[in-house]
Amino acid sequence: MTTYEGEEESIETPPFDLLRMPVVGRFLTWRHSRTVLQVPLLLVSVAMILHGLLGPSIAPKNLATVLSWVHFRGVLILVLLCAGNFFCMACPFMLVRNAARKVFRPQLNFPRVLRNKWISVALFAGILFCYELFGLWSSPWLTAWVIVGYFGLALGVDGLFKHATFCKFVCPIGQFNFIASTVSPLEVKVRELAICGTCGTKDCIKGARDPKDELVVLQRGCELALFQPAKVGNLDCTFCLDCVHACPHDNVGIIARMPMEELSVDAVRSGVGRLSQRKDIAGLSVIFTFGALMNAFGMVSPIYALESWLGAVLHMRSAGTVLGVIFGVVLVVEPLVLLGVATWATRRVVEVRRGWLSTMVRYSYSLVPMGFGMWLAHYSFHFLTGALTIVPVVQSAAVDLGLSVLGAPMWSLLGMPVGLVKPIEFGFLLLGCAGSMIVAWTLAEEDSAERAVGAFAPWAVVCLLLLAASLWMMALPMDMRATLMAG
Amino acid sequence: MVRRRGEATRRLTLVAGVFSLCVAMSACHQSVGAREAIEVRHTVKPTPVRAQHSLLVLELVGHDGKDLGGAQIQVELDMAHPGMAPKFSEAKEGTPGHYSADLDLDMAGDWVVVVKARLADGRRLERQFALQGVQP
Repeated sequence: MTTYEGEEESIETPPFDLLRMPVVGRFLTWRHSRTVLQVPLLLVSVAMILHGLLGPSIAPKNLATVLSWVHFRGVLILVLLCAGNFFCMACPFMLVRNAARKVFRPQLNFPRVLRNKWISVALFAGILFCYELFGLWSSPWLTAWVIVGYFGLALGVDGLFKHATFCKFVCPIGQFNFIASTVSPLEVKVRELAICGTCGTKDCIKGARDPKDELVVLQRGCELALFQPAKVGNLDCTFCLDCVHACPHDNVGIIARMPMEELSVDAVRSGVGRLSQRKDIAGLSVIFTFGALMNAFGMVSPIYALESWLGAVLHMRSAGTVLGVIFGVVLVVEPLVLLGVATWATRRVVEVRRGWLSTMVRYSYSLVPMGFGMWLAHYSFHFLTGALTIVPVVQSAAVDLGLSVLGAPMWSLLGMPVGLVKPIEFGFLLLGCAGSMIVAWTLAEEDSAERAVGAFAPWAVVCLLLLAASLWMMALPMDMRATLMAG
Repeated sequence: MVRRRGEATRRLTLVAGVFSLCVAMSACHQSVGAREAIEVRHTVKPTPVRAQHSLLVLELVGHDGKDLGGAQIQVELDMAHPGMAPKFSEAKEGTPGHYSADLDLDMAGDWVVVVKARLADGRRLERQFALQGVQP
């Protein structure tokens, strides 16, 4: 019998298990539930691509732009806040990939040197950069091509490499979801660790094969190399529920947990390792947090003045170069300075056993809730104020196809008034900051119970600076520009 | 051997199909209104254009250079970002062939103006132009 770390916790009854709920639980444990969720999203994706390429060129009237930049992002972040990584569960790219793998059986293993988050960090930053530079939100055509590119990349990577290489090492949306889901209240986890100790098959990771033909996979195990009994938190978990279906003991659930708690846990995680030793995941956290600020900063007026000023001072005429400088400062220089100074200050107060970089890496995770708060405030603003705009866009698309059953487009439909949404946004930002403070305090207490205040203070200052910047941006009137350095 | 060759052909066909589809899709780009021998000249006042009530002045000129009076014109104002409702207004004719419409530019940024006209002879035309960098 094997014992696993934290086994003593299993005597407590989990407070809530989604898979034990009457209707939802039965649906999710059904073998084809994921496909049922994926098919509608695939159909919507196809509609978005077609409308983006062939429909109106005005963004507010096109399914590709309205669904991508208003509804998808808004719903995604709200579901992450209220539940967990359910978008990855319903990901349409994986449906196409699975179909393609019936033709292409990947033979290669992803190169060991690339088995980290650096590619996806670069892609994530790259998408944020292209979003600003090319004004993706204003172009249905480009948005449609982004979706096509996503399908192509998923097919290409997973057509060549075995397992869930695209999800784990490449997909920038997936990485966003992984980091964001650290603040989610639900987690796919083992119900009773003691049962795993008696398990001899380890199907949750190995899967099940046909005893008559070893090449036939009856049930996949975790393609992201997360061994359930040693899994900690939501990092790298796509909620695919392969482990739920594979477990012969019905011992895996979607269980309530304390949001954000995993950010301060430094135990060895299956498929991930120790967070304090993962510079790539720390880099992802930093891009996640400061990228949220950059993405929001791109929507307010002062960016005009900054771009013009930078262009004049640096004698740059290229919008891409000016934007590159701004991105470099916000995503690289600013975090290095802020985190560097905070780490130095913490190490002055507390004798930390780990190294300088390791300390910075560990504390960098405390900024994730603040970043999440900013993404939440920004994306939910667009969603809540424009939720109903999808109705006239669908009506208009139907009219274009010669279908009048949905009636004339009701263009006056919008969403909640801005005045009502603004206080909600400020609340999200304050919650995010409070969450970051809690994580930073927990880390500081672990480093030194006696001098926790001193270790915590520098990170509290960083959180407050980020909060001040976020509140300032959210208080400004929105400025929907699509062309950099225009006017 | 035969089976392997069949599989290879199937894969090649799939790749070629996807490639052809991508090439065909890259040509898909809706043109903004058909070009007709009618010129729609436009100016927005005051300049520089700011986020406030502004005036769109239109001039419709036929292929023979004569102003086209008597048209019914609807002006649609869209933000560049999705998630916002378009604004509609009717253009009023001043001197023949010269029209003006109110523009409610209530936000800084990029806007798209769509002009839909029904000419006196019943012909319809639609033009679209961008108002970029509307200042706060």
